[in-house]
Amino acid sequence: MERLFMAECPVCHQSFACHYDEMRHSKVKLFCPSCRHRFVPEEAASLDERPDAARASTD
Amino acid sequence: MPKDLQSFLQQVRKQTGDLIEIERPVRPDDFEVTALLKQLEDRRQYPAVQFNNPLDMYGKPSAFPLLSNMYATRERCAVMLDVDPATPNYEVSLAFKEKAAGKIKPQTIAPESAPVRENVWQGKDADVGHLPIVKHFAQDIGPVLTMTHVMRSKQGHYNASFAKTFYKWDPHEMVVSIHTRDLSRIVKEYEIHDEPAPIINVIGHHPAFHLASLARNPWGAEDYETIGSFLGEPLRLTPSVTWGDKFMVPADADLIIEGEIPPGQRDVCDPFGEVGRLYQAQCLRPVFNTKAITFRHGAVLQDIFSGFRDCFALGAIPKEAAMEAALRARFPNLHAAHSPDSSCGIHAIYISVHNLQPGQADAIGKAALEAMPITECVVVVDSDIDVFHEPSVLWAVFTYADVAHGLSVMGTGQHVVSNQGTRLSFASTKWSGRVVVDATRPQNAPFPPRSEVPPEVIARVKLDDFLPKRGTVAGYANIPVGAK
Ligand SMILES: [Zn+2]
Repeated sequence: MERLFMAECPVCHQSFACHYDEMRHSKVKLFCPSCRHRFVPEEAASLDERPDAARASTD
Repeated sequence: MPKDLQSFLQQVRKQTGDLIEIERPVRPDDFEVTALLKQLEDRRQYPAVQFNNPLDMYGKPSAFPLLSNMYATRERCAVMLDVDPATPNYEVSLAFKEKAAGKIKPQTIAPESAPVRENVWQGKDADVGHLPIVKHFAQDIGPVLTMTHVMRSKQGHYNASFAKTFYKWDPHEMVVSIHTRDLSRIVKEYEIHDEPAPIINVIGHHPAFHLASLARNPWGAEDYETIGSFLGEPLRLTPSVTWGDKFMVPADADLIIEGEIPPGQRDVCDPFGEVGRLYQAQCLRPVFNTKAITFRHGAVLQDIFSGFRDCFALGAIPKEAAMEAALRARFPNLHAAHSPDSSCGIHAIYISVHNLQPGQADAIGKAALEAMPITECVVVVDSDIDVFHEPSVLWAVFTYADVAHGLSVMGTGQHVVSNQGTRLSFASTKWSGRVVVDATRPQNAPFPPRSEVPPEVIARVKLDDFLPKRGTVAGYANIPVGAK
């Protein structure tokens, strides 16, 4: 099972899912599937790496 | 004649008649193929569709027609497994189980006699951009080839599994998304030896070839023998262009890409809209360097419309066969099992039983969950409920299931795994709780029977004898039954 985070492309602002262990801190550039821009997670317009807080609070 | 894709398409034309050919050019890399398939699905129409004039990755006419939606009906899956398409339900699951247990040794033929060697592109000519590769969904990282890949272990056995090879706008370098235990292990074996790992992508063969690659074989099994069992005849093999007889390839395939995975090299892969209708998260996967493309005259490229009905039977039929294998000996009163389309052939299994014994619904449900770790919900019903007719199963759930006593939750029973974030497995949800729903008719108290029209009267009074002839009543042409 994989933990994931959502990254928002700084160019086209599309958000897409990324594998946390492999992509979050590995210095590998993410590849925006919408505009093909490459960027490291720190350059993302936004990152959603919350734990399951929303789901947890409603359970 | 050996079984191949063309012989199967002839069978479809004769037996189910639901293959349509589209002549207008389409751009597969601009979602046009999946846009058309989605509209068919919205109309609840599920023909196999062959696009005769797709464009390639350069926007030019491709030499290869593109075939999709082949697995979208169980009737066509029945034909693939030599089952009468009039009995497309559990009969198909049982045929899968029987074929998965069988083995037929492959036959070797010379390259000069092998259809797949009629055309060979090597070196600079081996440009995958000339293929009509489908980009399926809005957030997919790129166009992708979805069919069976084969690798050979260091011990010498061949493993065939579904994997995905993504086009990366490079003529010769792709990235391959491997997610099965055995292919992953073979990649590691070669990396330990610091050697490139040979891999082939078999794009186009008799569909039983691809179904066979879903059989759950133990490590070390010879998958080419299993494929022979599914075909009902020896799989014909021929030496590859790149590795000769060190890597044998299916001689009757339509098109094969021969490639190598360089040790340790990874590239960005995914998102891709996976079978569970969610995007697989972006990750790192092995690089696939194309070495050769070989194909027969008139080769057709196959694709799967993932996340839609084209892929549900691919998940469901092997699971149903696995249920039969895992449960029959312990529960001889097992009637049928089905993993429904609503669960994408992944998350849920409906099981029906004859003459249920007290406590057996819970036991059979838990045994099913143990046998199928990816499944999260098992619904147990009586054998008069058709597990292939979901409204009937849901009727039993809403009518018979006692939520106070008929639900058996395994795991935490909550949707929260931990504080580490949403977790997915193969782009399908994997919550911590798993549930067995006992939707069998209550036996421990007086309970009214289910209303039924007398079956002997249904047998006597034939609908077609009573309906007006087609065209005599306005709108009657839209009624899908009746005399012509
Ligand atoms: Zn972008």
